[in-house]
This record gives sequence, structure tokens and C-alpha cells, in this order.
Amino acid sequence: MSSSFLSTRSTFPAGSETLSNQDGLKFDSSRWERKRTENLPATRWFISREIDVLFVCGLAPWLAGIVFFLVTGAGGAYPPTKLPQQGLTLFFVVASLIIGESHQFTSIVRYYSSEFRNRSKKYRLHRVPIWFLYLLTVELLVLSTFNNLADWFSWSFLVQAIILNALMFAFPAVLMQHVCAQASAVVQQYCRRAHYNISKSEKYLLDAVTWLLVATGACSIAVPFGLDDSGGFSAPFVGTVHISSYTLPLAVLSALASLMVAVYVVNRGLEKNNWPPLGAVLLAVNCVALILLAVPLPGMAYVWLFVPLFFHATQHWALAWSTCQRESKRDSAVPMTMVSRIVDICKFIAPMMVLTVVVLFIPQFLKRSPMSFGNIGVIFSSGESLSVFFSMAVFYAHYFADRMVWRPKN
Amino acid sequence: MTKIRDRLWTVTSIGLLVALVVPATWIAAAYAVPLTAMGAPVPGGAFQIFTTGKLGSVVKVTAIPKRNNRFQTVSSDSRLVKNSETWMNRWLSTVQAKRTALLWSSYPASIRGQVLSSQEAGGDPMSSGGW
Repeated sequence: MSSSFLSTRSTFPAGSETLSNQDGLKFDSSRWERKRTENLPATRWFISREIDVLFVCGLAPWLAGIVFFLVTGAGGAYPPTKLPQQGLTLFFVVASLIIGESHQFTSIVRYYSSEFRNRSKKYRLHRVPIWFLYLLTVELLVLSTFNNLADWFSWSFLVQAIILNALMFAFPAVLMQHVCAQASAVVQQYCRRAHYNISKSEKYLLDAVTWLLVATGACSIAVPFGLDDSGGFSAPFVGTVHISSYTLPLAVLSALASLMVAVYVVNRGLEKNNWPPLGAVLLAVNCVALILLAVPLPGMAYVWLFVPLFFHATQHWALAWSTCQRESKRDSAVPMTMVSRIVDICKFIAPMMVLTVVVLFIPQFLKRSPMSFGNIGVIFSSGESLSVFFSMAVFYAHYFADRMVWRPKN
Repeated sequence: MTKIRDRLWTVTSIGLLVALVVPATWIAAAYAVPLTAMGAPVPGGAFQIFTTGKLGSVVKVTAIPKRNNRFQTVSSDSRLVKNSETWMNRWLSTVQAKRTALLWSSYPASIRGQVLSSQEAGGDPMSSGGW
């Protein structure tokens, strides 16, 4: 799973032996197993059962979608109610930035934190995309100040343009993969927390279903830019290709694969009395339903309005908060006071919020400002390009940082 | 010593809260201004902002020309409303018509672009809808 952060490795070592008895699986009590058990979080939920079910497992988008559906006139069944609709729109849009956009900075901030920097594994290959972003930023600043240098770097512009266009073109599909991979990783986290061990082959099965869902989404609701024209596009040797025509076969395949996993899990539960945790089941079912029902169910646009916000972003916040709490050096025997809890929350949230404003809103502010900022000001005032560049850079920095920063130390 | 440390933490936490509230207010204001702006829905789905006029009064709007100039000559009478009143309906009608961009249109960065540029979802990422 390429972008699934957290523990994407098998939670069960390939070489260890298993012994089964009537209580279920018993694992060889190796050194690895003891270390693994020591690293397990104390609770099965990331924050609490109620919050997890709503904002991590994905119940909130359904509830919010139903509310919006009813307030906006139930798909034309009656005239939309005006005042609540304005309030809901304002609430949604503001929450979209405060919760949605800022979640990207949790992994970026962690990338520069001592918890990650001090690790023995350096993730050099994983860091290449981040270094490319550094290069682009430096190049933008240098060339905007010293225009004459552009001739020196002109040979590299074509390569950079190809990479950037590819990143831009594939963005919706990458986003779909990011959402699904995170959901899959969280399912594995829930299983790990509940001591529901997933073998390597079971993980491959989970990955295969996830990729099928990604492919279905990429052909239906997250089609790469430029491929969604109704006339289709021409490909060598194949002729005209209509990407939406792949939706139905892929959806059927995904549904069958999901059903196969469900049957396998039930079979394993019946045979070994070993059932997956509620959080994992809810999340997996929700993820499959959200993607497969997005096209055939007419009202799904209301639900999908909240999926990036209350399914993906809140999931990420919960994971980041849980990891932050687990790694804090606080003595767990000492009860937390209200003040210390507020301090903890502020220390966790404030850097992300400040970065969101500085990186994503300063360009908007400068673009609208009548003040001149020299050559930099020219770039800021050049249409939407800079805010697009920053948003894109932030998303991809978050995407690539996610692949390394949440992995367990051991 | 413990008391001093506790007080220091309290002061720090209040400072951090202020540091959180100020940008959050700014963010809210940045979103709220275009959403509370007055204007009228334009044939074709866009929203044209009018700086003068009373809420509810009728204005004549002409569709913004699209690539194929399909709506170039279309004009109609429209009632002045708050952008937030029509934003959700506009978003829903756009994604219903173009389901292939559903995920991108609901992505927070795209929502920011749609609100700040007052343009519809699902279009060219560089010109409308933003990221």
C-alpha cells in the first residue's frame, strides 16, 4: 500500500509459529511479540468510542448528509429552507478549512519533529518527493528575484513541467488512493489495538480490495483531470476510451472482493472464535459503501460533501492526537488537570492552525492587498497560480510525509 | 516551584488559545465575506456578485460565456440573494451534473477556491474552483 501511513506492515511476523486452542489463536511468545505488546496502545479506540464511531469510522458524513439533504429541500421534494441553509453552509465552509485543510499540516509538522527526526531509519527514498518540493520553492524564490538566471535553468523546466503536470492531472485519483489507503491503515490499527492479528496474506487481500476500490473511485467520482470529457480520449492501439465505462465492471469486482473478505472474516470468526473489532468493521463497511454507492445512489452528493471533512480529515486528526498522547512523556499515574489538558490540546492544534493561515491564506491576502511586494508581489498577484501551487505543494507534502511519519518505531 | 510552573503553563495555554482564536477568526472572516456577499444566480450555474441593490430586488443577469459560448446570449431576471443561500444548491447541482469530479469538488482546498473565487465546482482547477 503505497500511501497508507501508520502500520502498513503485517502485524504478525511471517516466521513466527502459531498454536491454536479453543480460546482462539495463541502466538509464540517470542521477543518480537513481547516488544509488540509493549508498543500497543492502552485502549481500543483512538479518542473515545462515541467520537471514533462518528468521526473515524465514518458515521458523521451520513448523519450530516441527511441533515443537509432535508434542509436543502430533500432533492427538490419541497422548497429549501433558507435560514438554516445559510447557517449550515457557513458552518460547513469554515469547518472545511479549520478541520479539513489544517489536517494536512499534522503530518508535515511531525515530519520536522524530533520524534521523527531522531529515528534510526532515515527513509531516504521516501524523502525524494519532499526534496523536489524544496527545489521548486527555492527555484521560485530565486528566479523571481534574479530573472536573468532563468536561462541557466531553462534545460530543467521541461522535466519539472512534466512532473508537475502529471501531479496535477492525477490529483483526484491520488486523493482517492490517499483516502482509501488511510482507511485501510486505520482498519489495521483497530485490529492491532484489539489483538486481532492480520497475517501477511490477509494484509495482501485487504490491499487488493483497497486498490480495487481506488480504481472504481478513479473511474467514477475521482476521474483525473481531462479524462472526464464526455467524448472520451484516444489512446494508442485502443482507440477512443471512455473511462466511465470501466466503472460498472470495477464496481462489481470491488463488491465481490469485499464480499469475499466479509465471508472470510465470518468464517475465521466461526472457526477460531476470533472476531474483528467493531471499529474496524464499521470503518471497512463505510469505506466500501461510500465508494460503491456514490454513483447509483442519487443523494450521495450530500454525504460526499462531508467525506473529506468528517471521514478523512477527522480520522487523521484523531490518529495524530492519539499518537501524540501515546508518545508524550507524561507520567500516566498522575491524573491530568483541566489546565494541563487544555495546554496539551493547544500545543497540539496551534502550530497546525498557524501554519494553515500562513501557508494557505497569506498568498490570498497578499494577492488582494493593494500594497506592492516587489517581484514577489508580482507572483502573488498573478491570478490563482500561487495559491494553486501552495495548495498542491501542501497536499503532496502531506501525502508523501504520511507515508513515513506515522509508522511505528519498531 | 510547582506553582510557578503551573502558572507559566496557564499563561502559555492562554497565549496559545489566543494564537489559535485570532487566525481562526481570520479564516472564518475570509470565508464568510464571499458567502455573505449579495448577488444573483446566473444561467449556467455561476453566481454574479452585485455590490449595490437591496436583498430581494430583481436584477438582469447575463450568463458568463463558456468555452463553447453556449450561454453567451442567455440573460434573465434574477432575485438578489446571499451567496450562502445559493452556494449549496449550486454545489449540489454542479456535482449532480458532473459526478466524475465529486471527490475533488468536496475537497477542502477546492471548497476554499470555490468560495473565494465565487465560481462553480468541477471546472478547470487552474481557473475555477481552485484547489
